Amino acid sequence: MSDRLNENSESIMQVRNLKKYFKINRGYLHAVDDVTFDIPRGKTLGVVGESGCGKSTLGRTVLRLNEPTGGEILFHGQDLVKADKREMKQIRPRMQMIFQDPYSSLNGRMTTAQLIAEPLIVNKVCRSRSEIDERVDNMMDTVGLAKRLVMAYPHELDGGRRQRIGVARALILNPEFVVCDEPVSALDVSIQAQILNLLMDLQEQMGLTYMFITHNLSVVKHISDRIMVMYLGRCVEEADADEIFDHPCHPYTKALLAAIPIPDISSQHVRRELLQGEVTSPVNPKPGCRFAARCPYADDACRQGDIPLKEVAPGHKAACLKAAGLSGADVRQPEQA
Amino acid sequence: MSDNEILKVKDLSILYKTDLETVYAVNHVSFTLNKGQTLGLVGETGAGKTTTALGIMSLLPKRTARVTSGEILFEGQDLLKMSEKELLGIRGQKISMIFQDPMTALNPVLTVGDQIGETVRLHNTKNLSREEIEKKVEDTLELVGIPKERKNEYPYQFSGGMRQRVVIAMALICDPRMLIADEPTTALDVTIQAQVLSMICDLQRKYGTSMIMITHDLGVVAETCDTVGVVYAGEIVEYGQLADIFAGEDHHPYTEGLFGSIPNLKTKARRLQPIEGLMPDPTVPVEGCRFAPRCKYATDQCRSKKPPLWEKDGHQIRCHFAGIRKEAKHE
Repeated sequence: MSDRLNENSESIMQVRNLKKYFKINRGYLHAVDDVTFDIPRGKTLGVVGESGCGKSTLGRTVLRLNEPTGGEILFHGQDLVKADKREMKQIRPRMQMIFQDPYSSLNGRMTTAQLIAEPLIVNKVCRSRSEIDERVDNMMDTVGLAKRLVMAYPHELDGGRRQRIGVARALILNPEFVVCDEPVSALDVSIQAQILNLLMDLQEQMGLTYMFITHNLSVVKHISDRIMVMYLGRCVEEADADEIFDHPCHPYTKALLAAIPIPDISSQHVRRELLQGEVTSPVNPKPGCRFAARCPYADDACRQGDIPLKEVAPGHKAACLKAAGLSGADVRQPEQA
Repeated sequence: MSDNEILKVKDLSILYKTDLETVYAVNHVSFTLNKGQTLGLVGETGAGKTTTALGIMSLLPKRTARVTSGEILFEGQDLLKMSEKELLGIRGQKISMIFQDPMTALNPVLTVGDQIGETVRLHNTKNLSREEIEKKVEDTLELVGIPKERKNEYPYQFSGGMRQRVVIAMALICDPRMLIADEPTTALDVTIQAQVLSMICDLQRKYGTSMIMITHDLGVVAETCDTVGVVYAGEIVEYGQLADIFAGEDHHPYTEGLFGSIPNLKTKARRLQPIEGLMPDPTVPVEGCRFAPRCKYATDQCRSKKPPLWEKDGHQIRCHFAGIRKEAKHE
């Protein structure tokens, strides 16, 4: 673990044992529980998981939009958790977020130009009105919004264009690090592809580092360099994008991959390993593996104590006691009858 | 209509008329559903998939929607010519529908048992007693994988996947001959989606129900359907057997675009090939091909003349260049 840390001195974002608990009547909801990861400069970390697994909370907490319950968030080596208000104000422009729903994340009473200019005004980065206009103009060009839409209100635009405004708002301050929280899940496939291409082009042009949160596995594979799979607030597996799809180790990752319907009829006859049951509650979770209740391989050892994230292959970590015995097996092998 | 066919839709057109504008939602759509098979209607938001389904169910909003042409033959009878009373005997009993969003499709103040039983009480052709109905409700709940003890619970006590099972139970309780599933798994997580899809398919196989599966997910189509119609702007632009659409030689440019837009899990392409532009405005009647403004192969002919239907062994494509574009591309 520690030598990996040194080797990744180029890491722009290092998160150590991050925890975010929400206090509710019945106790504590463990939304994010002991998550650790690094994101190197210019790379994309994909975070996948089902609804309620804490991926959005993780994204918000990393930007300190939620106060973390514990852990460290090192942005260029500086711990954001310890930063005071003034320091945060200086750091914020360098890390931005693209929100999920382009229908509710834009103020309906502001025009495209006003929406895109808002971050510039809030952070007082421009000296004159004309400078603002020029940067807004350039940014609209960059994200592919036509000039004629300058005075358009969000309700006049379709989802794809609105999401382009969301992207423009996040990027106009030239951030280094962007959290994309399900940026394409509200969009149709043909529009989704346009936005994904845009995000990837911009990453190349501006040297951006992404944390890409999504529930869509084919999207995450397409855009990510490294993937982290979350289940009930925990990171259950982390590896390079291709590695995790080729050699998933954790039973949850396997089940997740097996559950994706594939638009290819040659794989139609492959029997799927279906996951039984549903996600258990993240409120006051029991000790042991969070996935044990649904796991076909779970035994008593899985239900006791914490299951640490262990390296199963170079650069491939999984939090499973059985990982060694399960790795390598291809989930899509037909179960021969 | 041959014996093998359960539903035949011919030249169906539906529009919504309001004081301000007219929306051409479904335009001259034709398809056939064979007994025991699944027909997939795939397309993007606003393509007219749900309107088609509501048209078949005669559930279109009466004040705004008009069926302007076509026939919907269910077991040989035209549903469009039936009186409301005749329709009551069919809707919910012979044809039923699984609605899209399980979070809003259920009545929050009735127990799920009541809601599932309502269908039987309304269509009580076999004169079942109250106890028999209760028994049937319990059986159906077990069938969709919900313990029968939960029948007295309210929808808020169920998770999304369980609610969708309740909606499916409501659709299945009268043993319908045909089922319309309108995006049955869109609101669900992948692992739950896999459970629900495999359950729908098992039940369909067990009872030989015919099904129309409406979805925007080509993966779901590949796993569940026998025949596929690709819907764009209220028209079926390509129609054929599963293999024609997923493997065949000839395709409509829109179908190609749809496949190019999905990130592939197996191969690593750094760039997706999206369809440029947006869906056309459905309030404007179109002269030529509806896809022409977004089509990279479009010519003047495409913009001015409505493309004819090209057909080869039941594989239909609505494009001027279907069957010949292959060669044109390689020139």
